[in-house]
Amino acid sequence: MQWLGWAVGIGAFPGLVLAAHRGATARLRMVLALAATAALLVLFTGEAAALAFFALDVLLVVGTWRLARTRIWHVWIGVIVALLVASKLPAALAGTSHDVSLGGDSLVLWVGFSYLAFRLIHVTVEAHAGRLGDVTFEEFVTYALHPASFVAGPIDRVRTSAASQRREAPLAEDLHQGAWRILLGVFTKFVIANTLFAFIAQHDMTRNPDRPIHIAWLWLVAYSFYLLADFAAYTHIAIGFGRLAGITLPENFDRPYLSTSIAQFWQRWHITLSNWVRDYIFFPVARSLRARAGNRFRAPIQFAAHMTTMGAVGLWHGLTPAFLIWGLWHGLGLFLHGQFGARRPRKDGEGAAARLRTATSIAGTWLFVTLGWVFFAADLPTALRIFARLFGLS
Amino acid sequence: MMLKESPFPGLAVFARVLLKALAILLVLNAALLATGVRPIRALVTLNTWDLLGRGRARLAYPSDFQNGQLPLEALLAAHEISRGPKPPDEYRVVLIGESGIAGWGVEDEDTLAAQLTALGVEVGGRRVVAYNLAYPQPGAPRDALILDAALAHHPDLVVWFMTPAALNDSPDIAGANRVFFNLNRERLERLAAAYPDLLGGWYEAHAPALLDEPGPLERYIAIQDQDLLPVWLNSLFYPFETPDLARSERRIGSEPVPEEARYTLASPGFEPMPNDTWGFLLAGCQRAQAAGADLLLVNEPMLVGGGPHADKNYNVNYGRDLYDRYREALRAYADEHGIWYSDLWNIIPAERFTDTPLHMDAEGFAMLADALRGVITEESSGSTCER
Repeated sequence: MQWLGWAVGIGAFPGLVLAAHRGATARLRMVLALAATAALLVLFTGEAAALAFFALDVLLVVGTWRLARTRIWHVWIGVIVALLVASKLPAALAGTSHDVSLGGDSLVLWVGFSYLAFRLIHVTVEAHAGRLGDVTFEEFVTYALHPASFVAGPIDRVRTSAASQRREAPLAEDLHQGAWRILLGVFTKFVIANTLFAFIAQHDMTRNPDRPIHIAWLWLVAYSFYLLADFAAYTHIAIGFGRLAGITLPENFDRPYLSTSIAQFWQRWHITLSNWVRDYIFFPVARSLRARAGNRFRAPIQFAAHMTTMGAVGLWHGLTPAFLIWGLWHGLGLFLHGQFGARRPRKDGEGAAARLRTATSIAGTWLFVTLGWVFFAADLPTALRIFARLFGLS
Repeated sequence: MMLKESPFPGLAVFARVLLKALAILLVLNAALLATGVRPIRALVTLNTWDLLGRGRARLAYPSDFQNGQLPLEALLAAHEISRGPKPPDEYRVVLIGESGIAGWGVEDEDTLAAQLTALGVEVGGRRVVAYNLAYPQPGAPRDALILDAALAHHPDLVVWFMTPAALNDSPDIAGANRVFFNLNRERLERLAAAYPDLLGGWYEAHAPALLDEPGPLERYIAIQDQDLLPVWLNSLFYPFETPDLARSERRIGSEPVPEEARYTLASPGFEPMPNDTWGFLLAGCQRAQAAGADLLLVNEPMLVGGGPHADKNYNVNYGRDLYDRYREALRAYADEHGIWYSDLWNIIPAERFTDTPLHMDAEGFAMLADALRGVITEESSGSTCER
């Protein structure tokens, strides 16, 4: 099947680049985007069966457009959520949810559905609220199934995407900036991430949590930077390829490990996911609880909203107790920061004391985030053993 | 911080920079090819052992003996044999063999090399200092490559421990060291070319299956061996890690000899004796002789077990028919070619063996060190290595 992927891809990818810069109709761009994504899936998975799942994706996209403005819009969201859970089940049942070598998607052949589901829920909610504006069907399909962001995000917003599809950008500038970002992505992936991965693989704490304590810490630091490098690399490539294909995808990372608080971290790490869960989980949950309980229970409401939101983020990565704990770890961090850290009077200033405060905040935030990655890396019993090892408790 | 926007003013400049980078890479590649320098091979010889003020007491080998290996130059660069020039009062002894000699399951200070050095004996007024260059898994061809590399460190004596499996000529035994051969391909090819009459048969029979064919462009690329980089990066942590010594509480000598041994005379690759693999013994002897070192071939001690099947098999590894035939053939080969030979096959009592018929405990190594001291200091030395 690889030959089919290459055959379609060789035509569709350059075609998409040219169509985006030579005033082609939205329909032609949509068709080329679909062909390019189909080719990408075949090349990525090496399986023709991936096309069957892609056909299901297309049906869901069309269904979203048809049903989002109807009275059963909330039922439709339920269907998408149910499919999202179903797509995660095989890996959860097989115990491979934490296997980074699988590329992060739970059902290997249903590549990209985690991201597509969030796009479809976003469009359903916005369409129901009458906030889609003048987005056309072709622009919506191109947004939902564009090859640049299909596999690993980022999770753009449909109106932003439609606006970027309509912009007239010079081909030379997009080729230049797109190629630059792809170059950055390839370097970050193959030089930085893969080197870190080689170290992680040879000192894999998830397979042997009883390694010496210094190896445990080295492994964790390497894993922390590996995750950043690997994901940032894919984002570079996605944004670069999107630029070649005439769309501007949003940034997903902004020096997250230099954040001075956990709240700032989530404004800088996987930014589009953070914004999505803030808008579609955190705010609705907080509003709903406040409507029932009023302002008397501000702290418990904040706690419940943070834990629900980050718990969902955890489970979105995989249906395992460890991913849930990882999400709750961050939910607790965000709650505590909101209750105590954010209320503290800010001491701005310059000089050594201010720099030391900033450095301490950065180090503390990074350590909190990095310790949380233990639950991202391994199933719960293994993660607890690694945790114990890190602190010399076993 | 990474530049999310290109630092170049336009596509033309960006393209020019990429082209220039490509041109520089091509020129650099050509220069490296012309001078024969392989930069990654050179880089991986750097190590962090000097930070501790000592080298490794043994060669580094991965737990499965296949993955995560480095070329011999890098292994020796990290070894204590590479720590400074050879002192004038040192009688340098290099020990070569498999896991039984490497000291599987014992601390560095309990290995044969360490205990032989600790005896404080002298040869010709110089103190004996032994270096452990044994490497797990049997394979005389692999050992010959280690011997060849060790000669750069001016040994006075190479002690080469032998077992029947190390001289087995079957593809399975040769294939067990496949990664090792590929990493040290040039050394193997050089050795085979230098001794065509001794090694030609083995090379023609095994090399095509063992050595990976380079890709069509590979011979024109100087910056290759990228796979070594993560292995090397990992090796930089070795000095600060506690190695897994694979200790075992098992005492195989207390167990009865099984009815079926792993190797018998009917097993493939042993007959005829000598076969093509044996050529490495004489080639190694001649190679050592040419470098000014003497060679002592030792039949490695092994467990002589008891029980109802002891009349058929010596232990779980070897049937009596095979082992007796091998001993006889090895002595005859050594006599025929003038190789200094010592047969220590049964000098270690059964209770000194741990998890295999070749792995000894510290007391076993002490006995072997004492026996070896006697051979080195009391027997007349001098291999003539005749063809």
